[in-house]
Amino acid sequence: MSSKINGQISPLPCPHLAEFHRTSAKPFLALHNCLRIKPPGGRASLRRNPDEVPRCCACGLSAPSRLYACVTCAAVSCHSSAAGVLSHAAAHAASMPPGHQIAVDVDRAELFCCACRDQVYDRDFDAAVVIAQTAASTLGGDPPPPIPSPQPENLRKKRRVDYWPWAPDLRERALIGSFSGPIAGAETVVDHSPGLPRGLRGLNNLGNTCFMNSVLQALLHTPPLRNYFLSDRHNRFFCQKKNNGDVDVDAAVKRSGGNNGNKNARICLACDMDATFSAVFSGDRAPYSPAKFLYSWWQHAANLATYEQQDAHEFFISMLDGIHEKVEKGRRKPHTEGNGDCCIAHKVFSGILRSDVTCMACGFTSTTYDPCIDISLDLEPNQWGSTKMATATSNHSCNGEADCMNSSQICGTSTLMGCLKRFTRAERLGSDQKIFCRQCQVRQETLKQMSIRKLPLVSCFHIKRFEHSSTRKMPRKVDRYLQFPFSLDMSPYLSSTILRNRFGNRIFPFDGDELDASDELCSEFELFAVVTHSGKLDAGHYVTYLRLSNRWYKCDDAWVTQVDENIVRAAQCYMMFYVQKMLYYKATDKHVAS
Amino acid sequence: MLVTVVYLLSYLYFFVLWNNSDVNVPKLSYFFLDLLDSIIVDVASECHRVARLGLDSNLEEEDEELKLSAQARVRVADPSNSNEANGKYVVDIFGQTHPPVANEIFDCLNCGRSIMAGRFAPHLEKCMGKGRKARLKVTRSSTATQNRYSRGGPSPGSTHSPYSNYSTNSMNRLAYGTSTFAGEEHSNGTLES
Repeated sequence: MSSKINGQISPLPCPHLAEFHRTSAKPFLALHNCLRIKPPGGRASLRRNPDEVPRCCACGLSAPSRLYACVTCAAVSCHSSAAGVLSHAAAHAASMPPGHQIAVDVDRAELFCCACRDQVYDRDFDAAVVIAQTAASTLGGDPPPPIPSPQPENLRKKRRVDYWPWAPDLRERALIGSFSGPIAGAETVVDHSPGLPRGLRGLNNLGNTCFMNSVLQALLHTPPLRNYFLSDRHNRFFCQKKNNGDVDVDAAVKRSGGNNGNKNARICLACDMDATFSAVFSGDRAPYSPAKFLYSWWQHAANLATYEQQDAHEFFISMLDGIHEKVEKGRRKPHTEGNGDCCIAHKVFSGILRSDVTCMACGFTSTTYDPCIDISLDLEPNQWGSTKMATATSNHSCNGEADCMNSSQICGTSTLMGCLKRFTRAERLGSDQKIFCRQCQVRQETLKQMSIRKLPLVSCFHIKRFEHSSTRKMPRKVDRYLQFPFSLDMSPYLSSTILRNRFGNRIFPFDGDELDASDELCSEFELFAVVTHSGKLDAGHYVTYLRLSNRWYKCDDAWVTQVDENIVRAAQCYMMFYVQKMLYYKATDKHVAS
Repeated sequence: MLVTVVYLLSYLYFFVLWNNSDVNVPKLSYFFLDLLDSIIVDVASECHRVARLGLDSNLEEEDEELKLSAQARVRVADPSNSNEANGKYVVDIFGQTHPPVANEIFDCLNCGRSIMAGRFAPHLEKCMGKGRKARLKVTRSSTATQNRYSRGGPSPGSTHSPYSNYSTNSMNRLAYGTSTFAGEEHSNGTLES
């Protein structure tokens, strides 16, 4: 009976709770009216009236720290912490006929079994508490229905289908024969280095282009992207043939003679990516010059077409935008922005961020969803070490408290998980950034909290390594070490986890929680590429470390060498690429045409 | 949370001591113990829920990763461990060596001129008329185009032979690793001729 929902275990109920459920239908319905949320967003407590002071029926004391209300007869009994004194709550459970063992902690709204002397957990009770907490934050205005959380349009669920091996039919076989060559044929391709993984090839530096080489190396070994291009999902011959046909029509209308056949080809970064994949995975190990790619990218991003050293992250964003733009124009269909189904770039890298803004006066929460293709993380400030806290205590981050505690082991060490925790922490907006509250109808101080609503197939984390010095107004590069794991669990940063912490870790399907256990979201990631930077802000060098067959290779422009994993762990990371551990197939809506 | 609890306990303890009088001691002590018990039960209740529902994050795995990173940094910082040779001037995993500036020759995609790989980006910047000195390069590019048109008239054999010789000499000199300034001069010379 114990089922796991997004990392949350439903514990087996104790026999008294099970008996209580069997005898009572809808047992916690009456409790819904008695649940009070004292401050907006605070902890729930149990009161018949808002200003009631509960007392023990047996001794009449209201001062003891623990008072329990029986869920069957609503009698309030106390439980003293002094040794030797008999618990009135336990006496009440023992003296009454069976069915009075389950009680509720009056001050904390927690179920308690007086016979087992332990806290017990029930889904229906927790749902009642969450509904009361949600209703309390929308007390004045129109109460929205809390259970069906509003699903964004672009979060349509698709069924998972089982994998079956693909065999080409006659038409596909003809296509393969015309413009494609198989990779796995060892007889046809002369592999100069048989012991090394395929796809390893140096990229020539064309003149300050290490930023392009480092990102290209990472993308060439991104598993979903590699599978896409090596499966001929974007064949540059067909794409260019189609584009040249369009250009010929335009040329016929304008009657302008083309000087060079090459210039008639329209810019298509996906075609150049396909050409790069073909060259790198061809088996030839001599360094490859991505000149065509640089030429096309400079035509796409004209503002970045300079000989100066560029930012690798900026190139990454610009290149994915170029692939998306080309496919978008080629398809000529309107698509929802950030849908994640428009092009291969967004299929692989697109996730959805959720932003909650909560009014600190009335607790009203406004939620927005934004697509993102990577997450830019600030390094933690210098005076803060990496905070290590239990998940339960992050509940208090809703109050805006800044808990700062340094562990002795990792004092002063920044970690990727610390940066992600800081990214998803509730941030109190200052009094100069008051936001209009729809419920209060005035500008109020607010809490803002980010979380990840949908994880991409490949997560790219970009570390912001520049800061403006307060004394001298010049940008400076942050050379601090950041620890990053080789395996990363993203479930603490999901919207469901953040919301659950905000509501006190109740058992409730929050936004993003999948009810079906077999469709559980995979939130575990593995590191496969790290782009590192050394040097200054205006002059430096990018190097990529690739993980292939559980070995690490250093790609330094044309030089590809194997390195120990300790060198990767100690490197100064700038961009980190994580891929989901378990990839699966989705049922497609449209019919797949060749 | 523990910091908050410790801070609150210290504050309460100080409060009790400060109001030390014979009449108030029992009441304040009772109030203090009651509040302390309430705070402890709050933390215990939250931790109990986290533990029973399996919501505690995998701290052991995290500590293991941190330990591995700390060991890696110590090992890399140790100069006696020759973990990583210098990036350049080494033999890669394919048994190849590479010059500091890539010397592969290919045709420029914009103007069709032969160019060395390591010099392609600065050449393309001028060729496309982008980035620095865009206006000047556009003028020179126009001049080069006019020269190319004028050279079409005479006999191709007599005209192209000295040009190709000059280009070959320029390439040979660039291949020997001259400075960037010298390379620029030769590029200008090529464009002028």
